Parts: sequence; C-alpha cells; structure tokens
Amino acid sequence: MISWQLDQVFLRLSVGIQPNCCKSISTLLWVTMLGTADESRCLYDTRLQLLGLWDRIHLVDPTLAAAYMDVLLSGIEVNGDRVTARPGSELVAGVASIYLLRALSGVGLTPMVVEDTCQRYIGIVPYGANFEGPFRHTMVAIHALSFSSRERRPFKWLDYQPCAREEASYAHTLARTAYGRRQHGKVPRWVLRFALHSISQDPPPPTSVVVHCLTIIAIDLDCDISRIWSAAPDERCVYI
Amino acid sequence: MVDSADGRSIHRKRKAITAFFPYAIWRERDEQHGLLDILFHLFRAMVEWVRHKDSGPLLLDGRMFMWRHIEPFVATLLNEDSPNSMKQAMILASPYLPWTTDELLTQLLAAATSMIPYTDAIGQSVVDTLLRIANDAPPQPQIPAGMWSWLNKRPPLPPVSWGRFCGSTQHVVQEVRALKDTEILKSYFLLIWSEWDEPWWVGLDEMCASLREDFGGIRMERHRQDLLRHLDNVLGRLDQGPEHLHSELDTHLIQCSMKRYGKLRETLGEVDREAAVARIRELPGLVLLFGPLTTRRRTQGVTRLLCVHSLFRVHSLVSKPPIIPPGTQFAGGVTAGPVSGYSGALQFSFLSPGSLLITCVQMSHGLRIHSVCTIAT
Repeated sequence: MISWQLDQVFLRLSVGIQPNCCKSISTLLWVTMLGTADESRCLYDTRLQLLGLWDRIHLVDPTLAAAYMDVLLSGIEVNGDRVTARPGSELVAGVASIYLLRALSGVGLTPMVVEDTCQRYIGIVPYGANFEGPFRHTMVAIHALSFSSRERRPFKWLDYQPCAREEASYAHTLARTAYGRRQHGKVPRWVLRFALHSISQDPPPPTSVVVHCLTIIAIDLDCDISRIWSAAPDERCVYI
Repeated sequence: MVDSADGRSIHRKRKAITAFFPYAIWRERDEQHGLLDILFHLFRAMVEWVRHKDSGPLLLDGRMFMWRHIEPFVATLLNEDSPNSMKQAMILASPYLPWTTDELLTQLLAAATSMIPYTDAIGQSVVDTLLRIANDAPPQPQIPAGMWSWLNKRPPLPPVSWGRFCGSTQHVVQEVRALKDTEILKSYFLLIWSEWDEPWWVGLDEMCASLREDFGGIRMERHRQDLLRHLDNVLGRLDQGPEHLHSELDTHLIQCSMKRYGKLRETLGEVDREAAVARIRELPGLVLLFGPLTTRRRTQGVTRLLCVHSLFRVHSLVSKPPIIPPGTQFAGGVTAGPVSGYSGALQFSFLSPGSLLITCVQMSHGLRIHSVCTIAT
C-alpha cells in the first residue's frame, strides 16, 4: 500500500521537481522506513530513488538533512567501535552517507541545523568508531564533521582509491564542505589533506577531481570562488 | 617583490600552498613551466619572513615550511624510477620540504643528488637542505656520508638561507667534526660564516674548539689561510654597515655578529701564531727555507746555520743557541760548516698572521750578504 502511494508521489516529483519539495522528499524518506517486511524490497528501491533526487535539488532543507541522517542511521550497525552497513542496506547506506555529507557541508544550512543533525549522529556513533565497507571514507568525513569540536583524529587518505565517478562526487562534496565551513571558520584540515592526496596521485586523477581539489585549495587561500559553482568543471577558474 | 606582510600571509597559508605544490609539479612535467617558479618565489618569501621574525623556539624548527603530509609525494618523486627532471624539481624544492626523522626520505634525497648534474642552484638547495636536516632535533636521520661532500662544492648561498642560519648550532658543528675530514670541515665553516648570519652562540665555543683542535699545527697552514681570509672578508663587509648589506639586520645585530666573528678571528689568529712558533721549532725543516738567502753556494751551509742560531736567540726559544756539530747533514745535501768570522743579525717581523718577514745582513768570510725572505708560517 505504502509503496503504491510512494510510486505515485515519486512520479509526480520526478516530472517537475521544485525547490520547495524538500519537505515532501524527506517525509517520503521517513515513510519508506516504516513499511512492512513484504514491502521492504520495493521501499528500498524507492528510497534509493528518493535519495537520487538530490542531484536535481540545489537547495538543502533542514528536514532533508535530518531525513538523510535517519536513513543513514537505519542502514548501519554499531557494535562497540565497529561500524558497518546493515546487511542488505549497503547501497542505501552508501548513498545516504554521501548525501548526508553534502547536506552537512553547510551550504544552505545554518550552523545550528548542522549542529543539531550532528548531535543525533554523536548520540549513536561512538567517537572512536572504526568504519568498514565501501562507504568508509564518507562515514569518516561525516564523523569528522560531527565531532569537529573534539580533538583531531588521525585521518588517513593513503588507502583511499575510489573509482573515478565516486571520487568526482566525493571531491565535489568535499569542495562544498570546504566552502560551507570556510564561511563560518576555516577549511577543515582533513579536507585540505584530501585535496593534497588526490592531486599527488600519479597519474593525476580525472580533470573534474583536480578541479574540485583546486577549488578546495582556492577556498582555503581566500580566493573569490563565488562564480565557480555555476561553471562547468572544465571551465572553472579562480580569481585571486 | 614580496614584502614581509606577504611573507606572513604566505606562511599562514602554507598548507594550502603545499596542497597546490603537486599540481605545479605535474604542470612542470607536462612542459608547462612557470607555476613552480612562482611557488619557489613564495617559499623564499616565507623563509625570509620566518627568518626575520622573532618567534623564539619556532625559529629552529625547519619543519614549519611545507606541510608534512607532502612526504609521500616527495618519496614518490625522489624514487629511483622517477625521471631526472622530477628529481631535479624536488631537489630544488628540498629547502622548503619538511624533513622529519624519516630516514628513507634522506636516503632518497642523497641518491637523487648523485644522479643530477651539478649547478649552483642544485648545490645551494642540497647544502641548504643538508644543514637543515643536520640541525633537526635528535634523533635526526642518518645523513649518508657521501652527501656531506656536497659542502666541498661550496655553492654561493643566497642572503637568506635557512640551512646556513640554523646550521651553526653546536650539534651540527659536532656532527661535521665527527666526519674527521678537514676539507669538509673547512668548507662547512666557509659556507656558514657569512655577513648575512651570525653564528649561534651555542655553536661558537664548539667552533673555537674546532679551530684549535682541528686546524692547529703546521700542516693546516693552507686551511688556516683560507679561513682567515674568509673571516677578514666577512668582518670587512659587516664593518660597512647595514645599508651596504641590504638586509634587515640592524646595527645591534651587526655588532653582535662582528663580536662573534671577531672571537673566531682571534682564536684562529692565536692558533696561527702558535703554529708559527711550532714551525720554528722544527729546525731541519726551517733551514731548508733559507736556501734563497745566500748569494754564494759556498756559504750556504754557514748562512743557514747562522740564521737558525739567530732565530733561536730572537725568539728566546732556547736559553742558548743550539749546538749543531760541524758536519751535520741537512736536507738538500747541505753540510753545516764552521761559523768563524760571522757577524750579522736577523730581524723578524710578522707581516700578517701566517707570514713572517726575515731580513738578514751578514758578514761572512769577508762577504756582505743582504737577504730578505718571507716565510709562510
């Protein structure tokens, strides 16, 4: 029953998505987590599709960030310090984590909202958590943002070798994180280290990743990057 | 031109600049030159600012330039498989890289330097980096012995050189002395003694000890002369004042430098005079120097012997002239003969430290002999 209703709403949303639809999407995301066992497969797919709508929304709504957090927390298991994706929820946990990271980047969210969202995360995931699985680096980033007020934790990028598409998405997210954080303070060092690590690779990463990394560096150098978000990655330039 | 305010900003943003560094390197590899030179310019400005700011203990921490997370990248580019152009770029960047206790990096650098043809720029970077690594707080990485020989190339270091600035501390002097290589030790002193930097007071005593213990004696004559000449040049340039140096050194710092270099000069002068005396004590060796004094071969032996007698008297080295039995064979096939009929005197004066002037007017066997001789002591 739920899945049928969702399909209808989802169909309407995908036809003409509006900036003010964030609340609807977040409500639907929550609804997808309430389904019965029989509906779980269908709801899971819908949830993935809902998460995918992110790419067509340029605004971040506090409710959406909270919904992503809920989806993520429902898709992970915490056993002591060991944090893994719940069996069967690997994909949705991975997708939710990347969108949550984007939401937490702070672009469009007030620090208060980010703080509230992070507090929920802190309530469930311990500070000394070890993440396993393909979404490990995204989780580590969320972890670093959530515990940003705590002492620094060693952040290792040496074993970070994602596929090109994933890396581009991740680099884009971290560039947004750098931008959002710079508005309220400074670019987190672990984000800058990501840029350093990625650019250091031989052969260098794809152009889109290099552009995002240079954007991170430019943000930290206090360059004017107001015009670069709207430009295509290969046309971006920074005004110093 | 980058001023000190820019240097401060650059230092504040050193992590972002470090993150940008690999991109500049890849551009260089793709034959797109220019970006790396700009970065080097920024790094120099940063070093200059750090060099002249009063930041206490931070001053000696050479790891404050580039971000330490650049290390894996540095290791990759200094690796044996890396092309020489990349190694060269890393060597030129080495004065600004973070040299920690990672011994592997130092070894890679040492290996890379042996594959790159020498230029003054490469020499500057290697020497600067070498002195920086040597100055790192213990346990500093083991510096391969071959790398120290780069000091012998004596590349002209720029006015602001972090290696020279921090390379005069006590344990660096000790480390260079421990090599037991006089040529390297002399080159080291010639490189770090400069009007642009004063020797650290903690290293000054060790340097004085080195001058006494490592550069004393007759055989060190040539090295002492080089060091004395260099110290005189440095003191001369310092004496001309700050406007001549085009540096941020104020009058007080220049006076402090002059005091320290003056102490080194004085110590070396003492060592030199002691060596001169020691030379006089070496009788047979000295006699040989008097060969050109004589105008007649027949009187050579006599003149030499008389000179020696007079030397001993003038310098009061012995209470009475040494007894040299007639027939004593000197080096060069000269035999000492009788000294009857001799009258004359020798005058001695130090022309300059390390150079002894001897004037000799003698009557011997009815011959008047005028001789002037300069002896390098």
